[in-house]
Amino acid sequence: MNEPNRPASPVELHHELTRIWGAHPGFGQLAAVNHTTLGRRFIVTAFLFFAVGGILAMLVRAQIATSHSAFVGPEIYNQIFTMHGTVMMFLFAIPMFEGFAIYLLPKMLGTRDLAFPRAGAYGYWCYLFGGSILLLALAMGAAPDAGWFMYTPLSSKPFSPGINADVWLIGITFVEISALSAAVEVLVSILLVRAPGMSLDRMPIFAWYMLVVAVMILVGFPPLILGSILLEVERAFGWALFDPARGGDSLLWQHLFWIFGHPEVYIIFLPAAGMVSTIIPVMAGRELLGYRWVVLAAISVGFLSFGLWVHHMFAVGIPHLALAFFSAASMLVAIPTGVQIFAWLGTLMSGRPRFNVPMLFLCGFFFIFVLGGLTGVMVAVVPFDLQVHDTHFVVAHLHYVLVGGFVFPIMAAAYYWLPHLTGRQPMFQLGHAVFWLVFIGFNLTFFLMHLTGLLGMPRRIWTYPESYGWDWLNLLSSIGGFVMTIGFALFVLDIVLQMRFGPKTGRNPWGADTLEWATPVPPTDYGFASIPIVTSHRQLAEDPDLPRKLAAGEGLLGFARRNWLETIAVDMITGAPRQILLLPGRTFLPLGTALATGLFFVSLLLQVYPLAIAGIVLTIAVFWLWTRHPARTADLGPLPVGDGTMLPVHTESGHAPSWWAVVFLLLADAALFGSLLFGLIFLWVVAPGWPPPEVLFNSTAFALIAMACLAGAAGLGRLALRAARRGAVGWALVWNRFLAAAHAATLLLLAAILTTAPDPTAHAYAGVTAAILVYILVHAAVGLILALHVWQACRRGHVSAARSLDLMIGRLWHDYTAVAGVIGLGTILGVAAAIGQPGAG
Amino acid sequence: MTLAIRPAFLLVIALGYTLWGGALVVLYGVLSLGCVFGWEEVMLGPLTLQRGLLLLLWLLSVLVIALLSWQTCAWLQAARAGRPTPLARFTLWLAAACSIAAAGATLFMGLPILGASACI
Repeated sequence: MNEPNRPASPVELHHELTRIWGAHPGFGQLAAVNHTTLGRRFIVTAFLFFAVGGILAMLVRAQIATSHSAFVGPEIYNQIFTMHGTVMMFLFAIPMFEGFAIYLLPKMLGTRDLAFPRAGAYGYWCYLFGGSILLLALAMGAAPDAGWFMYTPLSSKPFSPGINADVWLIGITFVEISALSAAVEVLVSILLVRAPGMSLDRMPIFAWYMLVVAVMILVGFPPLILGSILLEVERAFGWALFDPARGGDSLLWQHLFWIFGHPEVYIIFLPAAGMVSTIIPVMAGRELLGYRWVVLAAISVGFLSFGLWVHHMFAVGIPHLALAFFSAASMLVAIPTGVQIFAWLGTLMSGRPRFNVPMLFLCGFFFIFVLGGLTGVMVAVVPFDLQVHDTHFVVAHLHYVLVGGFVFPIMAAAYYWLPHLTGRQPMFQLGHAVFWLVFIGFNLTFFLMHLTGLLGMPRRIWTYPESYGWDWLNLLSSIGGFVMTIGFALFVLDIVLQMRFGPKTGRNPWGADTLEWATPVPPTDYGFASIPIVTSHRQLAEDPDLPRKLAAGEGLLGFARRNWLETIAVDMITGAPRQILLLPGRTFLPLGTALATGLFFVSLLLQVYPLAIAGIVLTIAVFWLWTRHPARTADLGPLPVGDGTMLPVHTESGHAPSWWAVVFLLLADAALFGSLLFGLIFLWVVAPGWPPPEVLFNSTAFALIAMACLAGAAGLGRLALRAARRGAVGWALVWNRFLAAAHAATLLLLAAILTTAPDPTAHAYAGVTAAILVYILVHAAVGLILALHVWQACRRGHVSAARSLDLMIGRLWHDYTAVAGVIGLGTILGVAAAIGQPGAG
Repeated sequence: MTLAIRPAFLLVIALGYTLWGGALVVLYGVLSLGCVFGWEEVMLGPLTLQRGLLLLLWLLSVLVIALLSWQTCAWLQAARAGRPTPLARFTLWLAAACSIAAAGATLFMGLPILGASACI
């Protein structure tokens, strides 16, 4: 196929690309899927939630500003501090960096969009709807009130009988869909969707950080999702999981929560560190010192952060040696963090720093975050932690880490990238006043909390007697909080003034060398009119004329072909071009799918279970419609990209981004499954009330046959794929039919086992066993749906020797299901056999 | 020797720390099981069964990750002897550095086995 005609002028190219990539005005905006729009939406929505969280913080400070305060009662106070933590962690911090990542990454990577625009849009709607559920509950006085980490038994039904805890468990799980979808999208995009020539050593440092963060989300979030599901099942259906009287253990919740919760701190910090690593070199006027050391440090922090979770549980009675393992890991993580800080300081020292507003906020970050890090090392030491556990000292520490490590860098980032977002320059130097108000207010608020903590003030108390002598410290803390709030209000005013009245800025006002500054400002929907070929990790510095060349269509894909949304996928390591990625355009499907998903979650919350089932069916049905986009009935073959190179489209390539997306989703899935198995072993070893009164003995034959069916389905999936690759689509259909039958048989067998299994409300053994069975059952059901999809694709001519992507994805799923099924059923049988023996357990 | 840097090499970069994570889980798990099943009361010469097992697993973990570090350093040295591309130099260095850091982390993390009380 010949290269399409190039537009006569850059303006014509701009108009054609805008027509293809842009969303329609009015209601059409709800169909937008491009990353610039979604990134902006995430950022603005997260900032609105930040405002809500900030107002809640002011209410907290108003309540404890003085002793014997009658501002709010304990019930409302519990809701306020719980929602403050929940909103800030789940509805502000995570979505805010997701927004920045979604907005910036494709531009930094020199590409037109992320790999899965519709998944990004779906994630945004899930975030908005899930967050709205929480805010609605707050407005109705039914917000969560058991603290942002929802410890059982406080959050269990007997002690939280209302809907409050359910709102947290269901609302947050809904929101976490957006975190997982963003993680997969970001991970696949960084690895595969970059400008040709952008090898790993030429990647912008922010992309390295986000690569680490995306993997952390995929491994760190599933334990919390599992914990939330199990606790909700216990609350709604009475299953025994965390109840010590029935073989459960509230410590299981703490483990599941903090396996998520501690990496979460670094999941929030690392994107901010990526922004710091991006901005400091620009402000210093030199390259980042020790690029590869910083990459090493980011990877090290990412891994080590998974070895710290028990340091939140130092006071629960774990043996000294176990505490020492986690104490050691907690100290170790300070080393790579220190490497980054010294790299940043070294960059500043060896450059000629400009002291402007972003730089001011970075200085504030250094000061506050280092203080937070030092108190972090203090609480990593077990004897000290036991003294200050659950006091305001810990509240001060976590705010120094999170506000210092995230909010200050985000403020720096906001001032740094606002000219890119708005196309305008700031006015009146209000940023300086914003900085000093926030900096002084923050330290006044939280430094004093170290002192109230050391004086013994517990966190989360709604009032205290005058005789304790905490009054003046708390009053000053509250005054500091209000000063900080005035600073943030001024920040909003500054942005509004800049957007409305700021003078227009030119391209690259900071003289940066990352590629996001090679796009027009404010950016267009398509980002780059043509895609750059990268030859250096300082491409923009070495070729300052690059923005003009790209706008003129002198890069790759500098044309509008068949109304396609095209970009290029590359080799993960070398950045050599491999595929043309055909992206979906504007569509209401993500919104529709999120509404269907919302129906499921709201029905669960209201305990209208038939409607919840309808929500699941509807969600699957709408997802099914998503598959229409890449489906084709004929091979396109290799197509030109503009420099004489011919590339296949992704649906006709070996390992397309969607295949990798499933690989990474299965990584998250495996993390959830591993947590479930951990739960069974943990309860067996640690929980009181074991061995259980009844074990699963009478289903061994069914379980073995189910394992054989799952293994058979995996084998049949391979045969079907092999047949399709030979062009024998008829045989692929035949094998696929057997595959569907194997999954259907597994479903029946597992249902039969479940009906005869011990009562899951009687003992935690039965509860976790049933949960494992349901996990395998759900996977077999999805396997069946995938088989039906392949059947439809084959019948409609969407499968050929070149177009076998659906079968490749199916094979991945069937393989995983077989492995997980054999492990899960094997574990159930093994534990039953061990418990059944006299003296075991 | 020249080593082709393929996408699977990303797994080598992550392998050292993955083994570190595995070692942490295994040590914590064995400690918990040992405390439940009374391994701290069973003496094996100067050591309890519990501590002996933990020492063995810890040293084994350190050894395995150290071997990985040695191998990745050998790849890096071999590449440096030729004319490696900046990309090859970067990825090989990163794999070696991650492995060495993971080995150091495993060594440090297990030091308390030498002294801390196991089941109290």
